[in-house]
Amino acid sequence: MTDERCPHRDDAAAWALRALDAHEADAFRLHLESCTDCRAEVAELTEVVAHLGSGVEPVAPPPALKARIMAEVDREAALLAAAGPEADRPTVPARRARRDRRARWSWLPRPALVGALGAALLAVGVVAGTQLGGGGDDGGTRPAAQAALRTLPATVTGAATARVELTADRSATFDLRGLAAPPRGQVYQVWLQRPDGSVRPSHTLFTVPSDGATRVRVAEPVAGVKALLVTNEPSGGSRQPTGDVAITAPL
Amino acid sequence: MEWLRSLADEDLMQLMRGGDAAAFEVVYDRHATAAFSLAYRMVGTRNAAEDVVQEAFLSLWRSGARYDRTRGSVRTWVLGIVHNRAIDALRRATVHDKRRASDEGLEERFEAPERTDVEVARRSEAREVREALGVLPDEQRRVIELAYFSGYTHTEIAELLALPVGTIKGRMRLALQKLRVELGSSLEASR
Repeated sequence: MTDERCPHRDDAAAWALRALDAHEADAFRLHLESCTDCRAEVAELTEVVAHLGSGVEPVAPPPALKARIMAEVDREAALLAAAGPEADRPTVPARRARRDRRARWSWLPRPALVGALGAALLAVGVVAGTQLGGGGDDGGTRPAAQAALRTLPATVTGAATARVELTADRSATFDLRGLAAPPRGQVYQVWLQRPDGSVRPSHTLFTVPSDGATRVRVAEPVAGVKALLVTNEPSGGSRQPTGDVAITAPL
Repeated sequence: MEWLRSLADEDLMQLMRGGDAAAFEVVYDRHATAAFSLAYRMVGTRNAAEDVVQEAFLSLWRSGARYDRTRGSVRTWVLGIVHNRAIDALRRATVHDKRRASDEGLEERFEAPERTDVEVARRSEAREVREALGVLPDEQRRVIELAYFSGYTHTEIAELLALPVGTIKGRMRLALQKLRVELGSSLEASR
Protein backbone atom coordinates (compact mmCIF):
# COMPACT_ATOMS: atom_id res chain seq x y z
CA MET A 1 0.00 0.00 0.00
CA THR A 2 1.32 3.43 -0.83
CA ASP A 3 0.83 6.74 0.89
CA GLU A 4 -1.63 7.78 -1.81
CA ARG A 5 -4.00 4.97 -1.11
CA CYS A 6 -5.61 6.03 2.11
CA PRO A 7 -4.91 8.86 4.56
CA HIS A 8 -6.11 6.66 7.43
CA ARG A 9 -3.43 4.06 6.90
CA ASP A 10 -1.53 4.87 10.09
CA ASP A 11 -4.71 4.39 12.06
CA ALA A 12 -4.65 0.70 11.14
CA ALA A 13 -1.67 -0.01 13.39
CA ALA A 14 -3.14 1.95 16.28
CA TRP A 15 -6.43 0.14 15.75
CA ALA A 16 -4.75 -3.26 15.76
CA LEU A 17 -3.05 -2.31 19.03
CA ARG A 18 -6.31 -0.92 20.45
CA ALA A 19 -4.52 2.36 20.84
CA LEU A 20 -7.05 4.63 19.17
CA ASP A 21 -9.13 6.85 21.38
CA ALA A 22 -12.77 5.79 21.65
CA HIS A 23 -14.14 8.36 19.21
CA GLU A 24 -11.37 7.63 16.71
CA ALA A 25 -12.01 3.92 17.03
CA ASP A 26 -15.68 4.46 16.24
CA ALA A 27 -14.79 6.53 13.19
CA PHE A 28 -12.17 4.07 11.98
CA ARG A 29 -14.60 1.19 12.43
CA LEU A 30 -16.96 2.90 10.04
CA HIS A 31 -14.10 3.69 7.69
CA LEU A 32 -13.14 0.04 7.56
CA GLU A 33 -16.48 -0.84 6.07
CA SER A 34 -15.63 1.04 2.91
CA CYS A 35 -11.82 0.81 2.69
CA THR A 36 -10.40 -2.45 1.41
CA ASP A 37 -6.82 -1.17 1.78
CA CYS A 38 -7.23 -0.47 5.47
CA ARG A 39 -9.04 -3.76 6.02
CA ALA A 40 -6.11 -5.58 4.46
CA GLU A 41 -3.65 -3.57 6.54
CA VAL A 42 -5.60 -4.27 9.72
CA ALA A 43 -5.74 -7.98 8.95
CA GLU A 44 -1.97 -8.14 8.54
CA LEU A 45 -1.11 -6.11 11.57
CA THR A 46 -3.70 -7.74 13.80
CA GLU A 47 -2.03 -11.07 13.13
CA VAL A 48 1.23 -9.61 14.40
CA VAL A 49 -0.37 -8.07 17.47
CA ALA A 50 -2.00 -11.38 18.32
CA HIS A 51 1.46 -12.91 18.77
CA LEU A 52 2.90 -10.25 21.06
CA GLY A 53 1.25 -11.77 24.11
CA SER A 54 3.19 -14.98 23.59
CA GLY A 55 6.44 -13.28 24.48
CA VAL A 56 5.67 -12.69 28.13
CA GLU A 57 7.62 -14.45 30.86
CA PRO A 58 5.43 -17.26 32.25
CA VAL A 59 3.64 -16.78 35.55
CA ALA A 60 1.47 -19.66 36.76
CA PRO A 61 -2.13 -18.86 37.67
CA PRO A 62 -3.31 -19.88 41.15
CA PRO A 63 -5.30 -23.14 41.33
CA ALA A 64 -8.15 -21.30 43.02
CA LEU A 65 -8.70 -19.32 39.84
CA LYS A 66 -9.33 -22.50 37.88
CA ALA A 67 -11.69 -23.73 40.59
CA ARG A 68 -13.74 -20.54 40.38
CA ILE A 69 -13.92 -20.61 36.61
CA MET A 70 -14.80 -24.30 36.43
CA ALA A 71 -17.53 -23.87 39.03
CA GLU A 72 -19.20 -21.30 36.80
CA VAL A 73 -18.63 -23.32 33.63
CA ASP A 74 -20.04 -26.47 35.19
CA ARG A 75 -23.07 -24.55 36.38
CA GLU A 76 -23.71 -23.15 32.93
CA ALA A 77 -23.05 -26.51 31.28
CA ALA A 78 -25.76 -27.97 33.45
CA LEU A 79 -28.14 -25.24 32.33
CA LEU A 80 -27.26 -25.97 28.73
CA ALA A 81 -27.89 -29.66 29.27
CA ALA A 82 -31.28 -28.81 30.73
CA ALA A 83 -31.95 -26.54 27.77
CA GLY A 84 -31.43 -29.39 25.32
CA PRO A 85 -32.24 -28.41 21.75
CA GLU A 86 -33.32 -24.96 22.91
CA ALA A 87 -29.80 -24.09 23.85
CA ASP A 88 -27.73 -21.69 21.82
CA ARG A 89 -25.27 -24.37 20.88
CA PRO A 90 -24.78 -26.44 17.74
CA THR A 91 -26.07 -29.95 18.17
CA VAL A 92 -23.41 -31.97 16.36
CA PRO A 93 -21.32 -33.01 19.36
CA ALA A 94 -24.22 -32.87 21.76
CA ARG A 95 -24.51 -36.59 22.37
CA ARG A 96 -20.88 -36.95 23.34
CA ALA A 97 -20.99 -33.72 25.30
CA ARG A 98 -23.99 -34.93 27.26
CA ARG A 99 -22.21 -38.18 28.02
CA ASP A 100 -19.24 -36.25 29.36
CA ARG A 101 -21.44 -33.99 31.39
CA ARG A 102 -23.19 -36.98 32.91
CA ALA A 103 -19.82 -38.27 33.97
CA ARG A 104 -18.88 -34.92 35.46
CA TRP A 105 -22.10 -34.64 37.43
CA SER A 106 -22.44 -38.34 38.26
CA TRP A 107 -20.98 -37.80 41.75
CA LEU A 108 -24.11 -35.91 42.68
CA PRO A 109 -26.94 -37.87 44.31
CA ARG A 110 -29.72 -38.17 41.82
CA PRO A 111 -32.04 -35.73 43.63
CA ALA A 112 -29.27 -33.22 43.80
CA LEU A 113 -28.64 -33.61 40.10
CA VAL A 114 -32.31 -33.24 39.32
CA GLY A 115 -32.50 -30.30 41.65
CA ALA A 116 -29.55 -28.61 40.04
CA LEU A 117 -31.01 -29.03 36.59
CA GLY A 118 -34.45 -28.12 37.83
CA ALA A 119 -33.06 -24.77 38.84
CA ALA A 120 -32.90 -23.99 35.17
CA LEU A 121 -36.26 -22.33 34.96
CA LEU A 122 -35.81 -21.61 31.32
CA ALA A 123 -34.15 -23.49 28.54
CA VAL A 124 -31.62 -20.80 27.97
CA GLY A 125 -28.21 -20.48 26.49
CA VAL A 126 -25.89 -18.18 28.30
CA VAL A 127 -24.25 -15.59 26.19
CA ALA A 128 -21.36 -13.48 27.24
CA GLY A 129 -20.32 -9.96 26.53
CA THR A 130 -18.26 -9.79 23.40
CA GLN A 131 -15.70 -7.37 22.13
CA LEU A 132 -15.30 -5.80 18.77
CA GLY A 133 -12.50 -6.01 16.26
CA GLY A 134 -9.52 -3.86 17.02
CA GLY A 135 -10.70 -4.21 20.54
CA GLY A 136 -12.57 -7.35 19.82
CA ASP A 137 -12.49 -10.69 21.50
CA ASP A 138 -12.01 -12.32 18.18
CA GLY A 139 -8.75 -10.47 17.80
CA GLY A 140 -9.49 -9.36 14.27
CA THR A 141 -11.66 -7.19 12.12
CA ARG A 142 -15.36 -7.66 12.30
CA PRO A 143 -17.47 -8.31 9.27
CA ALA A 144 -19.11 -5.15 8.04
CA ALA A 145 -22.50 -6.39 9.21
CA GLN A 146 -21.16 -6.53 12.76
CA ALA A 147 -19.60 -3.08 12.81
CA ALA A 148 -21.49 -0.72 15.09
CA LEU A 149 -23.75 1.55 13.08
CA ARG A 150 -25.29 3.41 16.00
CA THR A 151 -24.51 3.80 19.65
CA LEU A 152 -27.43 4.63 21.89
CA PRO A 153 -27.47 5.72 25.53
CA ALA A 154 -29.31 3.62 28.06
CA THR A 155 -30.76 4.42 31.45
CA VAL A 156 -29.15 2.47 34.24
CA THR A 157 -29.58 2.43 37.98
CA GLY A 158 -27.03 3.87 40.36
CA ALA A 159 -23.80 5.40 39.20
CA ALA A 160 -23.32 2.92 36.39
CA THR A 161 -23.30 3.85 32.73
CA ALA A 162 -24.57 1.84 29.80
CA ARG A 163 -24.88 2.20 26.08
CA VAL A 164 -26.05 -0.07 23.30
CA GLU A 165 -24.27 -0.57 20.01
CA LEU A 166 -26.45 -1.57 17.09
CA THR A 167 -25.07 -3.25 13.99
CA ALA A 168 -26.28 -3.65 10.43
CA ASP A 169 -27.31 -7.23 11.08
CA ARG A 170 -29.63 -5.96 13.82
CA SER A 171 -27.67 -7.28 16.72
CA ALA A 172 -27.13 -5.28 19.88
CA THR A 173 -24.26 -5.15 22.33
CA PHE A 174 -24.37 -3.58 25.77
CA ASP A 175 -21.28 -1.68 26.87
CA LEU A 176 -21.55 -1.48 30.65
CA ARG A 177 -19.47 0.40 33.17
CA GLY A 178 -19.77 0.36 36.94
CA LEU A 179 -22.75 -1.98 37.06
CA ALA A 180 -23.25 -3.56 40.47
CA ALA A 181 -23.26 -7.33 40.64
CA PRO A 182 -26.71 -8.91 40.74
CA PRO A 183 -27.90 -10.10 44.14
CA ARG A 184 -26.25 -13.29 45.36
CA GLY A 185 -27.49 -16.33 43.46
CA GLN A 186 -28.98 -14.23 40.68
CA VAL A 187 -27.98 -13.15 37.19
CA TYR A 188 -28.90 -10.32 34.89
CA GLN A 189 -31.30 -11.19 32.10
CA VAL A 190 -32.02 -9.19 28.95
CA TRP A 191 -35.63 -8.70 27.84
CA LEU A 192 -36.92 -7.60 24.44
CA GLN A 193 -39.77 -5.11 24.66
CA ARG A 194 -42.23 -5.10 21.78
CA PRO A 195 -43.83 -1.90 20.44
CA ASP A 196 -47.00 -2.69 22.41
CA GLY A 197 -44.99 -2.66 25.62
CA SER A 198 -45.05 -6.41 26.25
CA VAL A 199 -41.75 -8.17 26.78
CA ARG A 200 -40.31 -11.50 25.79
CA PRO A 201 -37.28 -13.16 27.37
CA SER A 202 -33.97 -13.33 25.61
CA HIS A 203 -31.44 -16.11 26.02
CA THR A 204 -28.92 -13.61 27.27
CA LEU A 205 -27.94 -13.99 30.90
CA PHE A 206 -24.85 -12.41 32.34
CA THR A 207 -23.01 -11.40 35.43
CA VAL A 208 -20.42 -8.68 35.81
CA PRO A 209 -16.84 -8.73 37.06
CA SER A 210 -15.92 -7.10 40.32
CA ASP A 211 -15.44 -3.69 38.71
CA GLY A 212 -18.82 -3.82 37.01
CA ALA A 213 -17.56 -3.35 33.47
CA THR A 214 -18.35 -5.73 30.64
CA ARG A 215 -19.74 -6.03 27.15
CA VAL A 216 -22.73 -8.24 26.51
CA ARG A 217 -23.96 -9.18 23.07
CA VAL A 218 -27.70 -9.87 22.95
CA ALA A 219 -28.27 -13.31 21.48
CA GLU A 220 -31.42 -12.42 19.58
CA PRO A 221 -31.74 -9.95 16.70
CA VAL A 222 -33.43 -6.76 17.80
CA ALA A 223 -35.35 -5.91 14.63
CA GLY A 224 -38.78 -4.64 15.63
CA VAL A 225 -37.79 -4.32 19.25
CA LYS A 226 -38.83 -1.12 21.00
CA ALA A 227 -36.40 -1.34 23.90
CA LEU A 228 -34.06 -3.67 25.72
CA LEU A 229 -34.55 -4.16 29.43
CA VAL A 230 -32.25 -5.81 31.94
CA THR A 231 -33.49 -7.23 35.23
CA ASN A 232 -31.95 -9.37 37.93
CA GLU A 233 -33.42 -12.85 37.90
CA PRO A 234 -32.86 -16.19 39.59
CA SER A 235 -29.92 -18.15 38.24
CA GLY A 236 -31.14 -19.81 35.07
CA GLY A 237 -33.39 -16.94 34.08
CA SER A 238 -37.14 -16.39 34.13
CA ARG A 239 -40.02 -16.58 31.69
CA GLN A 240 -41.37 -13.24 32.89
CA PRO A 241 -39.45 -10.44 34.58
CA THR A 242 -39.47 -10.83 38.34
CA GLY A 243 -36.61 -8.58 39.41
CA ASP A 244 -35.97 -4.88 39.33
CA VAL A 245 -35.20 -3.19 36.03
CA ALA A 246 -31.52 -2.30 36.14
CA ILE A 247 -31.16 -1.02 32.58
CA THR A 248 -33.59 0.44 30.07
CA ALA A 249 -32.33 0.93 26.55
CA PRO A 250 -34.80 2.45 24.07
CA LEU A 251 -33.94 1.48 20.50
CA MET B 1 -10.63 -36.84 30.23
CA GLU B 2 -7.43 -38.36 28.86
CA TRP B 3 -8.85 -38.76 25.38
CA LEU B 4 -9.82 -35.11 25.44
CA ARG B 5 -6.23 -34.18 26.20
CA SER B 6 -5.18 -35.92 22.99
CA LEU B 7 -7.38 -33.66 20.88
CA ALA B 8 -6.24 -30.54 19.07
CA ASP B 9 -7.44 -27.19 20.33
CA GLU B 10 -9.70 -26.75 17.33
CA ASP B 11 -11.46 -30.05 18.06
CA LEU B 12 -11.89 -29.03 21.68
CA MET B 13 -13.46 -25.78 20.56
CA GLN B 14 -15.96 -27.79 18.54
CA LEU B 15 -16.87 -29.78 21.64
CA MET B 16 -17.13 -26.60 23.68
CA ARG B 17 -19.74 -25.34 21.26
CA GLY B 18 -21.79 -28.33 22.33
CA GLY B 19 -21.50 -27.25 25.94
CA ASP B 20 -18.74 -29.67 26.90
CA ALA B 21 -17.26 -28.37 30.14
CA ALA B 22 -14.55 -31.04 30.17
CA ALA B 23 -13.31 -29.84 26.78
CA PHE B 24 -13.20 -26.32 28.14
CA GLU B 25 -11.17 -27.50 31.09
CA VAL B 26 -8.53 -28.94 28.78
CA VAL B 27 -8.38 -25.68 26.83
CA TYR B 28 -8.02 -23.82 30.11
CA ASP B 29 -5.20 -26.08 31.27
CA ARG B 30 -3.33 -25.54 28.02
CA HIS B 31 -3.59 -21.77 27.88
CA ALA B 32 -4.17 -20.52 31.39
CA THR B 33 -0.50 -19.89 32.09
CA ALA B 34 -0.04 -17.85 28.92
CA ALA B 35 -3.25 -15.98 29.63
CA PHE B 36 -2.39 -15.26 33.24
CA SER B 37 1.15 -14.26 32.32
CA LEU B 38 -0.09 -11.71 29.81
CA ALA B 39 -2.76 -10.39 32.16
CA TYR B 40 -0.28 -10.08 35.01
CA ARG B 41 2.25 -8.39 32.75
CA MET B 42 -0.38 -5.86 31.75
CA VAL B 43 -2.31 -5.09 34.92
CA GLY B 44 0.51 -5.73 37.38
CA THR B 45 -1.40 -7.13 40.33
CA ARG B 46 -2.47 -10.66 41.03
CA ASN B 47 -6.08 -9.83 41.88
CA ALA B 48 -6.60 -7.74 38.77
CA ALA B 49 -4.94 -10.40 36.61
CA GLU B 50 -7.24 -13.06 38.05
CA ASP B 51 -10.27 -10.92 37.26
CA VAL B 52 -9.07 -10.44 33.69
CA VAL B 53 -8.37 -14.12 33.13
CA GLN B 54 -11.65 -15.21 34.69
CA GLU B 55 -13.57 -12.78 32.52
CA ALA B 56 -11.64 -13.83 29.42
CA PHE B 57 -12.09 -17.57 29.87
CA LEU B 58 -15.77 -17.27 30.70
CA SER B 59 -16.11 -15.20 27.55
CA LEU B 60 -14.29 -17.94 25.67
CA TRP B 61 -16.64 -20.55 27.08
CA ARG B 62 -19.74 -18.55 26.28
CA SER B 63 -18.76 -17.31 22.85
CA GLY B 64 -16.66 -20.18 21.58
CA ALA B 65 -18.85 -20.41 18.51
CA ARG B 66 -17.22 -17.23 17.29
CA TYR B 67 -13.82 -18.84 17.03
CA ASP B 68 -12.68 -19.09 13.42
CA ARG B 69 -9.68 -21.31 12.90
CA THR B 70 -8.84 -19.59 9.62
CA ARG B 71 -7.99 -16.45 11.56
CA GLY B 72 -5.40 -17.93 13.87
CA SER B 73 -4.77 -20.46 16.59
CA VAL B 74 -6.87 -20.89 19.70
CA ARG B 75 -3.90 -19.65 21.70
CA THR B 76 -3.65 -16.34 19.89
CA TRP B 77 -7.42 -15.99 20.11
CA VAL B 78 -7.32 -16.55 23.85
CA LEU B 79 -4.50 -14.06 24.24
CA GLY B 80 -6.43 -11.58 22.12
CA ILE B 81 -9.37 -11.84 24.49
CA VAL B 82 -7.10 -11.46 27.51
CA HIS B 83 -5.42 -8.44 25.94
CA ASN B 84 -8.72 -6.75 25.25
CA ARG B 85 -10.04 -7.43 28.73
CA ALA B 86 -6.83 -6.23 30.32
CA ILE B 87 -6.96 -3.00 28.33
CA ASP B 88 -10.56 -2.54 29.41
CA ALA B 89 -9.47 -3.00 33.01
CA LEU B 90 -6.60 -0.57 32.62
CA ARG B 91 -8.72 2.12 31.06
CA ARG B 92 -11.81 1.94 33.19
CA ALA B 93 -10.08 1.88 36.55
CA THR B 94 -7.02 3.23 38.14
CA VAL B 95 -5.13 0.05 37.53
CA HIS B 96 -2.39 2.07 35.88
CA ASP B 97 -1.84 3.84 39.16
CA LYS B 98 -2.19 0.64 41.14
CA ARG B 99 0.43 -0.97 38.98
CA ARG B 100 2.85 1.86 39.48
CA ALA B 101 2.28 1.75 43.22
CA SER B 102 2.18 -2.03 43.39
CA ASP B 103 4.31 -3.65 46.02
CA GLU B 104 3.97 -7.00 44.32
CA GLY B 105 7.42 -7.85 43.20
CA LEU B 106 9.42 -10.72 41.92
CA GLU B 107 8.03 -13.05 44.53
CA GLU B 108 4.85 -13.07 42.46
CA ARG B 109 6.66 -14.21 39.37
CA PHE B 110 7.06 -17.90 39.83
CA GLU B 111 7.61 -20.09 36.84
CA ALA B 112 4.85 -22.26 35.55
CA PRO B 113 5.56 -25.93 36.26
CA GLU B 114 4.73 -27.35 32.84
CA ARG B 115 7.67 -28.77 30.91
CA THR B 116 5.92 -30.76 28.26
CA ASP B 117 7.01 -30.80 24.62
CA VAL B 118 4.18 -28.45 23.83
CA GLU B 119 5.31 -26.09 26.54
CA VAL B 120 8.84 -26.21 25.20
CA ALA B 121 7.53 -25.22 21.78
CA ARG B 122 5.61 -22.37 23.37
CA ARG B 123 8.67 -21.16 25.16
CA SER B 124 10.47 -21.21 21.85
CA GLU B 125 7.72 -19.04 20.38
CA ALA B 126 7.96 -16.74 23.37
CA ARG B 127 11.68 -16.39 22.80
CA GLU B 128 11.09 -15.58 19.12
CA VAL B 129 8.64 -12.84 20.05
CA ARG B 130 11.05 -11.35 22.58
CA GLU B 131 13.88 -11.48 20.05
CA ALA B 132 11.69 -9.83 17.43
CA LEU B 133 10.87 -7.06 19.87
CA GLY B 134 14.55 -6.75 20.61
CA VAL B 135 15.28 -6.06 16.96
CA LEU B 136 13.09 -2.97 16.95
CA PRO B 137 14.68 0.45 17.34
CA ASP B 138 14.26 1.64 20.91
CA GLU B 139 11.76 4.34 20.02
CA GLN B 140 9.52 1.87 18.20
CA ARG B 141 9.74 -0.78 20.90
CA ARG B 142 8.87 1.79 23.53
CA VAL B 143 5.71 2.74 21.66
CA ILE B 144 4.67 -0.91 21.25
CA GLU B 145 5.25 -1.62 24.93
CA LEU B 146 3.25 1.40 26.01
CA ALA B 147 0.39 0.56 23.67
CA TYR B 148 0.22 -3.23 23.82
CA PHE B 149 1.40 -4.04 27.32
CA SER B 150 0.42 -0.88 29.18
CA GLY B 151 -2.80 -0.13 27.34
CA TYR B 152 -2.11 3.51 26.59
CA THR B 153 -3.78 5.17 23.64
CA HIS B 154 -1.69 6.90 21.01
CA THR B 155 -2.65 10.31 22.36
CA GLU B 156 -1.61 9.29 25.87
CA ILE B 157 1.69 7.99 24.50
CA ALA B 158 2.20 11.22 22.60
CA GLU B 159 1.76 13.13 25.85
CA LEU B 160 4.04 10.80 27.78
CA LEU B 161 6.81 11.08 25.19
CA ALA B 162 6.11 14.70 24.26
CA LEU B 163 5.86 13.83 20.59
CA PRO B 164 3.25 14.55 17.90
CA VAL B 165 0.43 12.03 17.63
CA GLY B 166 1.33 11.45 14.00
CA THR B 167 4.82 10.39 15.00
CA ILE B 168 3.44 7.86 17.46
CA LYS B 169 1.07 6.40 14.90
CA GLY B 170 3.87 6.15 12.37
CA ARG B 171 6.12 4.37 14.85
CA MET B 172 3.36 1.94 15.67
CA ARG B 173 2.94 1.08 12.03
CA LEU B 174 6.64 0.76 11.30
CA ALA B 175 7.12 -1.38 14.39
CA LEU B 176 4.32 -3.78 13.54
CA GLN B 177 5.50 -4.09 9.96
CA LYS B 178 9.00 -4.89 11.14
CA LEU B 179 7.67 -7.40 13.65
CA ARG B 180 5.67 -9.00 10.88
CA VAL B 181 8.87 -9.63 8.97
CA GLU B 182 10.74 -10.86 12.04
CA LEU B 183 7.91 -13.18 13.10
CA GLY B 184 7.33 -14.48 9.61
CA SER B 185 7.86 -18.15 10.36
CA SER B 186 5.85 -18.05 13.58
CA LEU B 187 2.97 -16.34 11.86
CA GLU B 188 3.06 -18.88 9.05
CA ALA B 189 3.08 -21.77 11.51
CA SER B 190 0.03 -20.51 13.32
CA ARG B 191 -2.13 -20.33 10.21
